[in-house]
Amino acid sequence: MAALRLFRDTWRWTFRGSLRRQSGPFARQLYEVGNRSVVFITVTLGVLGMISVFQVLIQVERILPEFSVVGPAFIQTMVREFAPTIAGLMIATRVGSGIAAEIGSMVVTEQVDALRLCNADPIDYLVVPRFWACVIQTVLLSVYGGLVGVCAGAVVAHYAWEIPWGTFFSLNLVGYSDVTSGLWKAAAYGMAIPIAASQAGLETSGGSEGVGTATTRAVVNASFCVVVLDFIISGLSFMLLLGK
Amino acid sequence: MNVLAWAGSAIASGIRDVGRSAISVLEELGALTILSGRIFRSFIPPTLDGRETWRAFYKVGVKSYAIVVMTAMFTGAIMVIQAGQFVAKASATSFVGWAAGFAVLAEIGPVLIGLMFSGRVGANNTAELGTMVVTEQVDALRALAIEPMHYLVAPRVLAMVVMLFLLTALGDLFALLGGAITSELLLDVPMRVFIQQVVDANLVDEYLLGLVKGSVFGLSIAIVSCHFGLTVSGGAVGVGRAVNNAVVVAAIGIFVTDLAVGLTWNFL
Amino acid sequence: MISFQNIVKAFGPHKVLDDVSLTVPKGQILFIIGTSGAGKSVLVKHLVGLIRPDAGRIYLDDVEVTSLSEMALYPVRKRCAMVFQHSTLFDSMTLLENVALPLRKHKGLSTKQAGVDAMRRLEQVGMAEESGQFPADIGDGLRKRVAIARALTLDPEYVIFDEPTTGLDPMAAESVDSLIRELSDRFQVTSIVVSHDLRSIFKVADRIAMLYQGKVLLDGSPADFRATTDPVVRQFIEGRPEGPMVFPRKS
Repeated sequence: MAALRLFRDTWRWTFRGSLRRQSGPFARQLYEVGNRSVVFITVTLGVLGMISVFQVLIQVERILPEFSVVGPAFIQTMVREFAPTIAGLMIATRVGSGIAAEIGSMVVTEQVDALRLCNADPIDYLVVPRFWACVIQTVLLSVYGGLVGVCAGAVVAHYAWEIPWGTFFSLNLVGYSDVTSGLWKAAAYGMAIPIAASQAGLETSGGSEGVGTATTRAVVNASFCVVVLDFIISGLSFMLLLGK
Repeated sequence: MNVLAWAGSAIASGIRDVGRSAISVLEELGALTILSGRIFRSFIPPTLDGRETWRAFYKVGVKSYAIVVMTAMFTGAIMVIQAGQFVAKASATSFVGWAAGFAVLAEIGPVLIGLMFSGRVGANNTAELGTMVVTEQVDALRALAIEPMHYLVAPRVLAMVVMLFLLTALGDLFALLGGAITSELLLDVPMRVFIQQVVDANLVDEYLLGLVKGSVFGLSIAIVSCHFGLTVSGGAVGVGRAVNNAVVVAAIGIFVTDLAVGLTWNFL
Repeated sequence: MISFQNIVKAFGPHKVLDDVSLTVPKGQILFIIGTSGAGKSVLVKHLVGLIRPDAGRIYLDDVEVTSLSEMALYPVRKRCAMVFQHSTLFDSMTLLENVALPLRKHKGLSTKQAGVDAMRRLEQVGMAEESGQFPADIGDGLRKRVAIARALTLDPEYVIFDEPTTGLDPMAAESVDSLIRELSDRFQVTSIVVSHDLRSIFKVADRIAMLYQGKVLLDGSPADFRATTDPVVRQFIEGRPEGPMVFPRKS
């Protein structure tokens, strides 16, 4: 409930021009969330792409005579499911815990109270820039992560199973609904993660133990939001697909 | 000229950044290796403090089982939906149990359970050890001539490895249950049929692979979370930063060991 | 006997201890005084190996402490207990478990026997009623008493008190003072007390050493300190904010 109220207030401040007033903090958050996650996303999604293609090809080898379907099917699943969801989980881990640690430290050192005394709303100053930075960067990082995953998978397929690049990199199976489903997921995660994390951060109480607890809560809540949203959006897009 | 000079200095600082982060990665890896060695040595002789071990098991289990079970059920459901999208087009619903079961047991189940476990238990462990370091409780143990590695760290490492193994074993089953419910509701494949498909697919190997992965993830989460907890400095702010670093490095650890275990398993 | 010989310790560019030498004979109560950040706590933590010096040696009777490995320090730590400035009880344990821990670990007592013994020791410091509570539930003064009970469980020959009366109300401080005195008088325990509590310094100390700018400025009996004409020492013991003393900028 408190998280929903925070979500509402974030939008409200946005419409009052919060971002325009503080383009500096917003730019810094874009950098914090985005640029500083690039290496992390590259490693995790790259490894995920390799291991998935490896596992699938070992199975397919036993059943099917040839591998031409593996590339397109892998790319489709990546676009629809794994690129946004694994990128989302990684951002929930890295950025979610970072936001909670930062805001939580500000709460226990009474910097948030100091903000209030200056008539500056913590949501306006702390949450809004992080929220929009997260939304934009989660979408961008999902697209980037998907590319990395597909390329890493292609490398495995090409060098270990000698699948030609052209056969693997085929967008035959990727439909309009896959792309929209993937993008909706990324956008939804991008909204849920900063809200769950900021909420945990703002509710911090007690010294170093409190900051630790808040950070832990942020990771778990944000990751769980990603899993639940994944389920909801996957289910909806599946029913739409069947409805057609 | 100015532009060139600017570009030159930007490139130079970029190279410096990469070099610096490469060095710090190597430093962390070295520290993790040394810590692993010290942890393994602290199991010899294998006499752990009974109370501390019991408390570690209890806390790890109680804290994580609910989130693991829920995550697992959603994971199973998502995998059935994803598999369903392929088979619905090809109208080959007989493959759903195999495809979803395979993905869940061999790969996605252990990874997602591991990530959740890291967020819940690993992060909490870092926060707890970090708080003990910041408030000098670790020094107080040493001043009482009690070895922190043996007394504090070894029971936690053991608890995390054993509990993530058990939670993976349990979570996989809940994932299949979540998948079965979804297949009945969304795919019109009755639960009984779905489960029969999973059984017929004979996924014992994949289940075992998942359990091995679970234990290895448990070990890497334990070592990473203890390392970042024990090296905290700088009060409450430091604890927050340590937890942040711990979950990030543990996530990388999960994916990298996932690849390593997957490769070894298939080549053995 | 405890003997610090030419201890040097720097944190980064900041030299905290610069050639400090001190000797404490058996049974004596030595007070180490000085401003915050003068390196008092740093000096005493060297004695149990929590901090290693950059140069110099420390002898505890015949044992040279600074060259010992962490494992070899454990026998030393059993003989030389330490009461931390913030009491530093273990948050996750009850007061009774806190006191019982060293008994279980080092005296080979079962959990039950250790509990009985720990209860007796809590009674001695007047904390038997609160034995089942957690450190977070009680006040600073009571926590300090439990910390002292825990430090004394292994019947040490040497005890380090790091600012034992700082932050306590006058009554609690008084009872800590008399306890330190009693340990020395009755059990021949050698104590090093880090303090800037002027009241207890002159009441309890056998000997006082003042650290200033990394060196021992004056080492003598309470009478010597009362009689001294050194302007820095005079400023400190009279508690005047203005005078010749230079305060460190970093703690």
